[in-house]
Amino acid sequence: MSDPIPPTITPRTAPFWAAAREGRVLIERCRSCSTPRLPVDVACPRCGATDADPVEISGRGRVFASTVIGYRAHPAIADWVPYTVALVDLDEGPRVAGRILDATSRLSAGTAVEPAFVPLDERSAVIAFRVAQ
Amino acid sequence: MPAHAVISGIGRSAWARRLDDDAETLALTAVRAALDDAGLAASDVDAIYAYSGFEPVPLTRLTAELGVTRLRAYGEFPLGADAIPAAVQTAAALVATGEIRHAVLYRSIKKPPRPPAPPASAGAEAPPRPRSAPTHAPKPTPRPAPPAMSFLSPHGVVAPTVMFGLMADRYLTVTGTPVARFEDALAAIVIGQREAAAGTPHAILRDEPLTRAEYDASPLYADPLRRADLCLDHDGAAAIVVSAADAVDTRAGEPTARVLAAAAALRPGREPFAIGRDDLESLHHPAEIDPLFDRAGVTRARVRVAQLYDACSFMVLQQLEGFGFAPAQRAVDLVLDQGLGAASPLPVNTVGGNLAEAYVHGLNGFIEAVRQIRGTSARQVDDADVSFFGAPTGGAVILGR
Repeated sequence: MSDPIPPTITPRTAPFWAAAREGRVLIERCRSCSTPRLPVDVACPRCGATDADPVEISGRGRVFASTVIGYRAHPAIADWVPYTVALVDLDEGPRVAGRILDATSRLSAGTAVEPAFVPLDERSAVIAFRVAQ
Repeated sequence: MPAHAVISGIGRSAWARRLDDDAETLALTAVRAALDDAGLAASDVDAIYAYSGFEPVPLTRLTAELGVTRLRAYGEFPLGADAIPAAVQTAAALVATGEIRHAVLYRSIKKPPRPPAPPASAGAEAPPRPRSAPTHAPKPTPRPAPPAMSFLSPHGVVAPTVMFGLMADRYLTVTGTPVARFEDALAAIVIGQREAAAGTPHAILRDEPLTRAEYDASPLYADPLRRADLCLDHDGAAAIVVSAADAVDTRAGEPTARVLAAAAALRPGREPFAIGRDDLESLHHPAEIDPLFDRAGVTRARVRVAQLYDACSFMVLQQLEGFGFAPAQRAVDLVLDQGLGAASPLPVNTVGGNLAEAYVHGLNGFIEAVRQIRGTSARQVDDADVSFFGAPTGGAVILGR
């Protein structure tokens, strides 16, 4: 199966991807209002502050929405089809997108999932999910 | 009294799955057709607007090719079809102050050329492949996702269609609509718009009616959405001209489309590929569009015909609710109880929309909104004196006579 499409890794996001390579989920927490966010957001989506601290979380969460992609949406991942992708509300973090590696159909909202790390190279891994046992 | 804005010209190139013309030729053809329709020359154009991030023909290039004497205003608008209300709003404001008299908005779409076909047989020149060589060259590493997509593409969120599937799944969860009833509504929209296209000579799918059995057999592309739920993808261009009402001649034998009100709309979290909002099942909400109806001086009940941007059939449900033409979470009922066809209280996407007429990023729908006012649609609605165009992020234009 093809590797995931790689991210563009910036100095700001490098710690996130490096932690994922080690099997850890590292997000940011707003220094002003404690709202968690991915390093993709420069400013806090809630209060607009730009200062944030890294914080490691479990990566467990619950499905907000999901879909099964049944067509070649991108040539680089044509052999994934069909694949299930979900939006997951992390228990201790923001909402993120993630492939559900062991799902073959849409999942009910609220289904508990846990992280599964798909290595990309030496400095990054993509955080996917499996249905929690 | 400030000058009032009208849509003085509509134009298009040929529309077809494949066209030999390049994007620049298509764009120029569409803009010249729109100027002809308005009875204007290139030297009359004061302003040009384009779709930011999508348009293959640079605004500066089109300006040079068109033979414009001097631009007094220009701009590019993001968010796809929402460029239409944004451009009409901007042009109407500049028309009102007298800074411009005629503005053009254009969009061209041209798919990349097909890769050359592989030779039918290897031929004598092809060196024999060593037995030890791998059958396939190693797969090249794909280019990294752009920064803004770097937390989406690696997970397979690689196209708007993926987002449509996630939104539709969320809609089912939030509304509690049974999947079978949801599918009935989507099938009704898709089949209805195919029927509308069948009466429209220029529609891409005019000769491709769809039965319910064929809809049900269409493969799931982004569950619960099927291939048949998704919009067309083809070559072509379209353009419109916004003018000061007193700067164009009265149209012979048909009404001129007046801009009653136009507004862009963008709330944080509504941009495409934004996943954080809790109302992901919706595109926008009726209260947000109320001021536009107030400015236009009409109520929703006065709208005779609507073109609602439909990148997929499900988006019609979202638009009906988002603009307040259906009660919240009740668009499925409206579609199944009243329908959206010519005989329904509010005919929607009257010549097939993006699903069956054409996909020129909403401009085809806007042009149909203008035709309805003029009385020149292939599927003309009686007394269509108030015509609505709605874009996905919530921008809208209300046209009148």
